[in-house]
Amino acid sequence: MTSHEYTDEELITQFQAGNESAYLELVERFKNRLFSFIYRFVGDVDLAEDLLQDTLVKVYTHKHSYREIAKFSTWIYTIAGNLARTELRKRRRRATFSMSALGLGGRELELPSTDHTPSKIHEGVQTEAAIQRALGQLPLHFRTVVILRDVQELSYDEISKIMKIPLGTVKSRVNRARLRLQEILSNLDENRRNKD
Amino acid sequence: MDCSDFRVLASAHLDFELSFAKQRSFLQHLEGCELCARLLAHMQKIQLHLKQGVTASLSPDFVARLQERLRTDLARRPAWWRRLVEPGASGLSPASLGGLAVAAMAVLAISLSLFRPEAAPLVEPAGQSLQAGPPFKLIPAQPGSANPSGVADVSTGSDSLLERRDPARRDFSRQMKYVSQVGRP
Repeated sequence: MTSHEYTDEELITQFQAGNESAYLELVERFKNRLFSFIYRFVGDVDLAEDLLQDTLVKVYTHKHSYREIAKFSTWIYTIAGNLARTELRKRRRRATFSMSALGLGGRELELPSTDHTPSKIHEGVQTEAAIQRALGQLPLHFRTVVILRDVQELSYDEISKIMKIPLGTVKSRVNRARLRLQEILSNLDENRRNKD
Repeated sequence: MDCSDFRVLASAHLDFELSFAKQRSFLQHLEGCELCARLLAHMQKIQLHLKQGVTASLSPDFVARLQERLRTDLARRPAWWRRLVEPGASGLSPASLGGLAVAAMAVLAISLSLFRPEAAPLVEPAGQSLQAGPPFKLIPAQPGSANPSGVADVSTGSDSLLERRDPARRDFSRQMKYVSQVGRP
């Protein structure tokens, strides 16, 4: 039986029993998803990688904290989200965190495209930067739900467990977050047009 | 349905969560309102872009660096801690850890009950009055002494453990005793 046949919950149980290869399998399964989640959250590649490493170290050292009453993905996203939020708060307190520091200033908003010509790829990069910039302007509680829902494509139920808020609150928060994101991107687009 | 209702339901529409009746009314509004149609189209495009993922990617040596960090982090921890978390080591089960925690709490509770300081009585015990003899004697304050305040010092009498540990509490307690004695007829 290959490890792909095990569920995440079975793998963490095996790791709790001392099987280190189960841990490495979990790392393989989650590293890219979590990286994209954290990157969308903090907007910085190096910081996202550091926080991902912290998350995975925490899973290793606190493996017995996991109980099978929750999905493993809920647990690991909770750890990653908490670490990312804590880091952002720390940075905000130190007043060293700014979107300009992320090298995203002055980027334009373009809509996504499936065209892969060089100019379109360039536009794609710009769009991603604009989206990232707009995400950075969302309040943390809005940013978290929109990333969990639209980037990670988690269910409302799972988001509710990760954020420890009622299902109805998740739904209304996702709606408000999407509307706010749309508003921010429209303003960015309008600014760009005015500059042109 | 008006534009504000439309905005409330926009997300549920994107997630296919609207009931048949609400969906029909939503689409009817969409046909007649250009502003809402543009809003929804923009939201759909943003959502699509978010789903496409990020172009940034992890370093190829990420897992190797993670393993190295785990090795160095664990090496820095004390041996007893490593035994608890290292896979393959004779780690304690969660049940054993729970037992240890209960035992530690029991030891702590016993220690606290044994070493609990004697509390100062709030009222003077019955029968222990001035007529029976003062529990302390008053020494007049000497000029230039360590107690220039004029408040009588107390050389005898038993201070509670708390009072002996805390000079401020002791002084206050002594002054109160003095005041209560002086104030009696």
